Amino acid sequence: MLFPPGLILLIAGVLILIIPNKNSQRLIALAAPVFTLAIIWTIPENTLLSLSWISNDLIILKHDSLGRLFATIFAIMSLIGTIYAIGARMRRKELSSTFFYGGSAVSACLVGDLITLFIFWEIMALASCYIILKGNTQAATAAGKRYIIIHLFGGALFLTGIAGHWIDNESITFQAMALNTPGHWLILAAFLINAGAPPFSSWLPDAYPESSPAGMVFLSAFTTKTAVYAILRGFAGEEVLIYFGLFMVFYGILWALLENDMRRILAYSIVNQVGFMITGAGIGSALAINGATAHAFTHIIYKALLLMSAGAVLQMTGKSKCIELGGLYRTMPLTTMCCIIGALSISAFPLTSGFISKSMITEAASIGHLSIVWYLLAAASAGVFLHAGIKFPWFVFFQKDSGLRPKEPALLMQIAMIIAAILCIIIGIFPSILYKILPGNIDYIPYSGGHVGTQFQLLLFSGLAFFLFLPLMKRTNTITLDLDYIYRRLVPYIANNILYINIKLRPRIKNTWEILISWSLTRLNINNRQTLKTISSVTAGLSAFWVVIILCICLLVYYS
Amino acid sequence: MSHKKNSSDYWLAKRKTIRKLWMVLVIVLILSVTSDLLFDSHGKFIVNDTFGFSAWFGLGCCAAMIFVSKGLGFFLKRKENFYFDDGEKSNSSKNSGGE
Repeated sequence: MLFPPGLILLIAGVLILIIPNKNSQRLIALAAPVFTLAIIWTIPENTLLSLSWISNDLIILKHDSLGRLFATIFAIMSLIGTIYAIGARMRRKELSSTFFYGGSAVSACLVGDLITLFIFWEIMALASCYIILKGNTQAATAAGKRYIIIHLFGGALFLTGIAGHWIDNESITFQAMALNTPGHWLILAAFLINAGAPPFSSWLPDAYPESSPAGMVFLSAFTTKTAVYAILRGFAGEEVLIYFGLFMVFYGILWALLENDMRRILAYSIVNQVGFMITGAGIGSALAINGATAHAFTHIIYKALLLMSAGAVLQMTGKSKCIELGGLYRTMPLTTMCCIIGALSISAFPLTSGFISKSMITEAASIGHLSIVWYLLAAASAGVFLHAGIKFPWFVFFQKDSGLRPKEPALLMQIAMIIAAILCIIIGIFPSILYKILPGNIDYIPYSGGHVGTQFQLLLFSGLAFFLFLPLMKRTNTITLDLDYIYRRLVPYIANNILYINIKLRPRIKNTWEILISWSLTRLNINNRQTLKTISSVTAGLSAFWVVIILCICLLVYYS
Repeated sequence: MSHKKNSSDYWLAKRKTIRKLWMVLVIVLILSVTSDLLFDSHGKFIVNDTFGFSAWFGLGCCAAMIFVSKGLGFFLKRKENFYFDDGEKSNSSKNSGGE
């Protein structure tokens, strides 16, 4: 009997919630990703499973090589993350939500229509928001609220885009789309928001680092990479993606260089790496698309490895600021070694997984005679080594002796890190393992003398630059303003001090959303603080608000 | 967590080791540049086919990125509690997710 593999993880999420026995929960948590992986690889390619809905078919299972590859890495990540999370003693509800998150990500990659994709897209948003909130700090609660606002806004754009696509094509099938209608632009905008593209890149470094040590391992894997999958399937070859991708690449590097918090450095680094994938999608050749796909696959593993090592440090020391860390290699040699392997992988050092995937994207730019893109990607490769390859391990595990002598983390956390580290090296040494399951047949050999030599040169001299300019890299107890400043400070400031919106409610006005509500209440002659408080807490109302606003805009566009 | 007094006991913290590591780095840097003489770098554009391109390009780009980020920091850096004066609190006391 055929059924969508993602359902296994979703059912496991429910079972973990309702079964009280801890050992049974752990057994289910470990078995579900393995079972999911087995099902993904036993379903024949090009299988379709659909349900009838209104006058359309909802394709709840479309099993092709692109979706299968993403579903595979999501299931692997679910397994590695679960091992780590059990070791980190993640609470039951949070663990359950990681299964809803992972299950909906796997399902999103294996559906064939936009409505079903949208449903899983929104389940992912809710589950990931819950994981952020489980950071259990006030900062996490505030970041979770901002996160869900951005993602519900993205969801509203997506739904409106689907409506436009339906009107134009009388179909909801998810296939390659040209950027020739407002509906398609809205769908691309929704995908880009989830990918961490400008002008909404800041949601990622704002929200993810507020989660628990194990929570961020899951967060780093699913949302942005599902967006990359959706872009590769829907909009590969659109030139505009190259510009978005290159912006993300350099934004991630520059902000990470300024950052003091180790997990925020890695969050900026996610934007940077997704930028490489989006650029690959924009180039659009078979090699570029395969490169972006391969890079998503390898990135999920090495970024998880880096975040697991950062999580281990946070768990064992309670500290995440570079300024307070240093010298941890003395008592955490295994964590240090795993971090270095992850750092070498993200820097695309030869014999690591990053090398065999990132080089496909740069080679595609070279073959396509996109010289400026190639130079920028080469510069960015150097920058990746600078901010993630050296800066992160150096300030956390080496530099000065902070005096901290933490032990290695729990055994299961160590096992999860070792598995990810081994995968990084095996894929780097035997790239054909990954190349065989890529969506297109490619004839690409990453290991040539010239290629390896130039990559070594680039990275080693980047390392030299880091140590030569080390005094300039000194960490400070500061944050760096980002575009979230606009909705966290600027809009409320203008509303309060320039537009004087609802002066009576001003003390309660803290963000843009509350300003919008208070403005509406003023127009409706309702001046009740309790009403404001109640409405502010209802995220469903927020979602509906955005949907109504954007649907109105869409209607105006279509019928004007 | 225990605190050891003598942090220079560790081999990697010794001056001698650090000096040796610098020497190894310099040798590896020279070897990596000379590898251009042995292998064709397959550069498809005018500049990237020149001798030692990746070396100076990597060094120059990283230096540029460090200076640009410093310049950005001059305008964009704020005190750590910049956003926390409206009731949000710092996460500095955050512990494991397993609590």
